[in-house]
Amino acid sequence: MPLRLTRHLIPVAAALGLMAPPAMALDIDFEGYLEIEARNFPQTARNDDQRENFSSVAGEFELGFYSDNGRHAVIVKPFGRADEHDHERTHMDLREAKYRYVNGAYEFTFGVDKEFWGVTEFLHLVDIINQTDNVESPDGEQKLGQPMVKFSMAQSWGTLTGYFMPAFRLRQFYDPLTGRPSAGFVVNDETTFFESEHGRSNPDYALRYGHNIGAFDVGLSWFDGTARTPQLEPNGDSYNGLPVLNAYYPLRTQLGLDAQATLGSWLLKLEAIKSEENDITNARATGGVEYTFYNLFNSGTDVGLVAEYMWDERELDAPHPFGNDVGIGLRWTANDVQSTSILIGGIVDLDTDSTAFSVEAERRLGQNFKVILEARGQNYVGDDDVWANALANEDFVRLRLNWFF
Amino acid sequence: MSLSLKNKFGALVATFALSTALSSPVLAGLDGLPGTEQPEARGLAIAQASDATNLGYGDTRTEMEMILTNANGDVSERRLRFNTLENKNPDDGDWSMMIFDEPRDVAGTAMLTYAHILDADEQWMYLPALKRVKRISSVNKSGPFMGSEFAFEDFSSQEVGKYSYKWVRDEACGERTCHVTERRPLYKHSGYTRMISWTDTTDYQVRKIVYYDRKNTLLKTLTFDDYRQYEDKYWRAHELFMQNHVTDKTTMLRWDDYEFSTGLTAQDFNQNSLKRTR
Repeated sequence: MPLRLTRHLIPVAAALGLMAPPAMALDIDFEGYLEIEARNFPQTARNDDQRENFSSVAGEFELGFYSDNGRHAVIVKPFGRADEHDHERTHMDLREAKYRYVNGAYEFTFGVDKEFWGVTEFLHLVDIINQTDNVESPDGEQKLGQPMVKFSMAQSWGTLTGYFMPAFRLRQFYDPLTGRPSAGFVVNDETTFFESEHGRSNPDYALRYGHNIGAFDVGLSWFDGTARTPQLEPNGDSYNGLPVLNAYYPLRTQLGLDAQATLGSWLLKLEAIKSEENDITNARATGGVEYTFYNLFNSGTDVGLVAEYMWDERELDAPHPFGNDVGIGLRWTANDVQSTSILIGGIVDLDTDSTAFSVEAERRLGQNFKVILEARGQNYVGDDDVWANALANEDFVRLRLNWFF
Repeated sequence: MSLSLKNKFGALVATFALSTALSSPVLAGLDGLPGTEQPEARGLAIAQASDATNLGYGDTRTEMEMILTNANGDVSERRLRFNTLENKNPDDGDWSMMIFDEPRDVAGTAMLTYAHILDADEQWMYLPALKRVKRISSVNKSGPFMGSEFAFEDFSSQEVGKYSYKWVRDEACGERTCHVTERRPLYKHSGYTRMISWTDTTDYQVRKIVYYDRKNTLLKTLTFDDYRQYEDKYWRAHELFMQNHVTDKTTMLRWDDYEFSTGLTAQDFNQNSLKRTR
């Protein structure tokens, strides 16, 4: 891999311990990005302290040390953002800090890592290993690093991976005074409760089996530990006119299924979970189709269409907005030199008629820069839709310029 | 709403198998091929001779630089790494791992392909920002690869069974003599009606391919240069130049040296190893 900006071959004798051969060479990689970001919230805020415009800077780098036989790796990947107004959004996180050992079919990881499970686009149900980095982006795609010990084996009968997670990461929320999007409440970190008697040190376990047979990719997963999504309960206090909520993290068991069939230009996707928290079991599912028109009219352009349904057996009583919803997405990929692409998506709540939309567009500038424009908002807020009402005035536009190194 | 904005890169495999040939005593003599009165059999035999010379290559690692130039002379560059594992089953395609290094915004993106001959390839893409492996459709044969003048199908493993063949003539090609063969894709979703290829009569290396689009009009020309021989046997071209005659855009591929017998195994071509790419 000779392309990294910083690359040296440094002979190090057994730097990584007993498993290393005596005269081991280390490959060092250093790469990452710096970002400037501007966000605008055009609608009137809840209170005077909240801003319409936020600017911020962010950055991430990955420093990796690799033995030349490829068996040993030490990888550190810190992320940080400094936001002009939102003190909670100004944050640092170790996305990864891990030692990894690979021997043939076996892989062992010790440290902080990120693991994604799932196949669907609008909603991720089976994905549970990492806590959501809630202040980074409201789409839930950004995750906090999770301390773990992981062991994985890839065999002809499939890939089996086991996880032990000894430490919990709390979900963070926007600054209640200045931050946006604001759902109109304050979460008090000081009064966080856990069902587990071990609190943040509950031993969490997970297991995933994945296999591919021809056109089909299937995964079965199991999780037993502290739920990543807290239950938010009013504690009767108020702060600057906003109700104060305590975050309560119950113990959760979850059985998950994810499956995809890849049939020509069609992708068929399904995720389903059965979970139990506080002795209450619950079933959720999401799934749908994706179809892509490749090289449309010989223009080199691809147009992909996605339709997915989101379901929770509790429907309107579900503690999230996706009880009975349909998502429709359109992805336009220019396949030009600058990798221009536009993604437009909408979600309709079939119970309340609320509709939300998002637009994301990106384009490379020169060789090392990228500009990303994102807009999220709601077209219609149903009267009885508590989730949509909480965010009724929180539409926003986000512009990012990234420099990659 | 969390649709990934990453492109899907479509089909891709490492070797230009037809471009790799070996001067073989069996094929010397009075050319040893079916006669010119049997153009189909002769064309197929030329392709088989070309393919046979790459048999037993085992596994390779290499890197490649791609220089895209548009009609105004604006230049853009890409860098990729390729790892390839030969499929011991002659009726099936090779396995490959392709890793993007530049442009920097897609660095670490990787694609794993199990190529098949006429069936759809199996492909997975790894998106490092989300640490997500996506199974992707391999239908996209004719679309541009990373904005270049190469289509995905131009990169695919060039198995003999993917085309029908017809010998056209033998003629001088530069200082060499070439078999000129027409081939037509038998796989679905190709952007071409046919290609004309020039294969050296002594070493069975492909020197040039001319592509005709679905309307059978001249689309582009690919020339192969800087052949180097490895392990006293396997030829690899190190400069591939694609000229688009419709848009006047060009793409130059410059391959670094190939490494053979690097110890890659099937374990280096699964989803776990896809997630470990860097």
